[in-house]
Amino acid sequence: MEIVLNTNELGYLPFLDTNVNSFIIGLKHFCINQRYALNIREIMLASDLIQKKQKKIYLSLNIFAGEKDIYRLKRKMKKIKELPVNGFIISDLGILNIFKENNLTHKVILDCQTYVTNKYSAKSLINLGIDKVYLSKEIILNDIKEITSFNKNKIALFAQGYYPISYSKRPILTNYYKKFNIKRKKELHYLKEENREQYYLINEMKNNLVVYNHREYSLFSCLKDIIDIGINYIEINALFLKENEIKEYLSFYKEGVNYILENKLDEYAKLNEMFKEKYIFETPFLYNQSFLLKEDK
Amino acid sequence: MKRIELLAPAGNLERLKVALAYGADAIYLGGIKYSLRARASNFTIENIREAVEVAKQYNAKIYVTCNIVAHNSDLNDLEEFKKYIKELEACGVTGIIVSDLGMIDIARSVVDKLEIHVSTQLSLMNSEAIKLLKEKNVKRVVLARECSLKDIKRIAKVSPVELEVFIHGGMCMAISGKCVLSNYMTNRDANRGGCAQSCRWFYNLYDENKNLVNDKLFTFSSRDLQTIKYIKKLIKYGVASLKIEGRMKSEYYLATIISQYRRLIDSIYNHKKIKYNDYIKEMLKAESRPTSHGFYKGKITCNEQIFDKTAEIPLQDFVARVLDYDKEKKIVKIEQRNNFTINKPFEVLSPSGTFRLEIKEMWNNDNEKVEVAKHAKEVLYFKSDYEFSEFDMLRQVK
Repeated sequence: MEIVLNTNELGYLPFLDTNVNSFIIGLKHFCINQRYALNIREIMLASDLIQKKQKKIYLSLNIFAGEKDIYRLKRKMKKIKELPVNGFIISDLGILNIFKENNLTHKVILDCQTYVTNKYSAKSLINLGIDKVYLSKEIILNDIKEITSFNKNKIALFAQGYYPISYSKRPILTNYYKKFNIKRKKELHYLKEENREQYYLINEMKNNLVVYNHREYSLFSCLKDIIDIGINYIEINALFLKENEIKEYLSFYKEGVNYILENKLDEYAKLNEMFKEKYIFETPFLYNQSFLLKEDK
Repeated sequence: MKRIELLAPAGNLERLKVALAYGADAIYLGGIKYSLRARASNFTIENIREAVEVAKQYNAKIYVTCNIVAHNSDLNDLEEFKKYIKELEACGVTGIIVSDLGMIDIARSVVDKLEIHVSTQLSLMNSEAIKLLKEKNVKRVVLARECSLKDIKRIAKVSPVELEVFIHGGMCMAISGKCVLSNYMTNRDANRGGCAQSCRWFYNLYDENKNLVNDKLFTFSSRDLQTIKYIKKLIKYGVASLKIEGRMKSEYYLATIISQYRRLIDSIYNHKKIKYNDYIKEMLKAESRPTSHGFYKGKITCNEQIFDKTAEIPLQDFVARVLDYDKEKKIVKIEQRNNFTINKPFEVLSPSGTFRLEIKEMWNNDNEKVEVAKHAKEVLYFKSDYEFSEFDMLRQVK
């Protein structure tokens, strides 16, 4: 099992000596849902340090690209192609096409923000040249199983962390502040609907507005199912979390995976109980499919 | 040069007839399965067959949306989906609008003639993505609403497939297909037709320490799209189709909006002088939300957003739909849609244009005189020398 850490604002340095297998790092100007990203020179440096530790580095270019972004990316392709990274994480099919036209031989992984929800869609993306496809977090475990069995070794899962539930290219927060003539102090905000308890995180960076679920997502309690299904790549995302929290998660996941692979299921069960006691998380659709309308209940 | 297509939505057969009468070149509609907008009435395969027949009378095309982001369960019965696609082709549908790549592959494997259009749900904003999708043998791509006019121009220059762009109607605040607020807030699946429009709700906004930022409520809500001043450019760029949003919209809304774009497009092709404000003024009569040019100018400002609850106004100008006209007796039969009184002047909206009207006397089915029409869908009559047609509508002038 490849445990991949999306470093986000914490960066990769604090985790070089942990048991993480791979890092996801954003490329400046070409990634979203990343609070900190590196430029090409910094990527070279990171790559060197990471690979010396026998770990992999995936570069995230996960923007939903407009025509201007495509133009800028094409200009940078020569340098990007030469980067000593193990793969790229993308969301936009246009970027995949540029990679193909440039005969890029790296692994290309499709980000979880693309909402892949069925086995045929995953297959279609693989046929277009994607090496690994993240599945949507809004599908049930049985679907994950079916999709993985239909697309062996090609499926990735988001396993732990805060995750987006809406992407917008509208600077709505900025406009709110402008409209009501309020001085904006902070980047991160919470939204709360009057009749609901939940506080949803909302973050706007450079005209990209992302809304996050109010709780962390976690697949830890179904790690055994995931391994049994044949998933061999999971992501832990450091977004909005602290270094010690991430280190704890990494230990839990590594230990959990080892217990399962060594068939020490009692040990894993104990670890799972500890995890549940320690953290608050949710996996709203893993066992309950969403419905369409009230009458579908 | 091929004339640009005016593409309008229809939530049911009646609205489809109105849309065609008012000048749509093509209609998109949803079937019972595989389509977003679960709350729209939607068409059975028999309805679709009938829709194709009606469209033929206007030399118009029918496209069917199969634009859900399918889960495995939606495609469990693969044969059923294949059969449906074959049936659509057999009954004369011109194309299907699909967002799921798997569904595109499956559809392409069973039909040759039926056009496949890539839905805006796939949020395509660049020419490279379109080039890649050409591999899937698609005929047309519906561009994301996030494209600016400049983007559209650049993409149109190099696109290997036809382009369709949204020109009017409701706007998601999020990138289409990339929002599941509804799933998390109401358990209704946004990408399978159940969107609860949580983006239109009002929220308290807190800073990162959970202190209230301001007593003004926050909403993501976007103004509706209105692009009347950009149509000339879109024609020049070689866009194939201009799409009006709104399978849930009323017959009155469709009639008003479609008629204005029809008139405008014809005026552009006929090199007539265009008074944009006249079109805008007319369209405002059917809008329930403020409008803006969306992303067309590239940047989203405060003018593209809604900030307060009072911005959405329920429309009551549309007061009656014409059901029939007795040429001999010169009697118009109408059906009430909103309360109205005969003491105020009316405007008739018809496929050929609008004109003022006075109703001096009106009566009901029991031949009783009626001055105030206050019963929903009540059938009423009045006399008029003007020869009304089936799709004419009455609105009260305020």
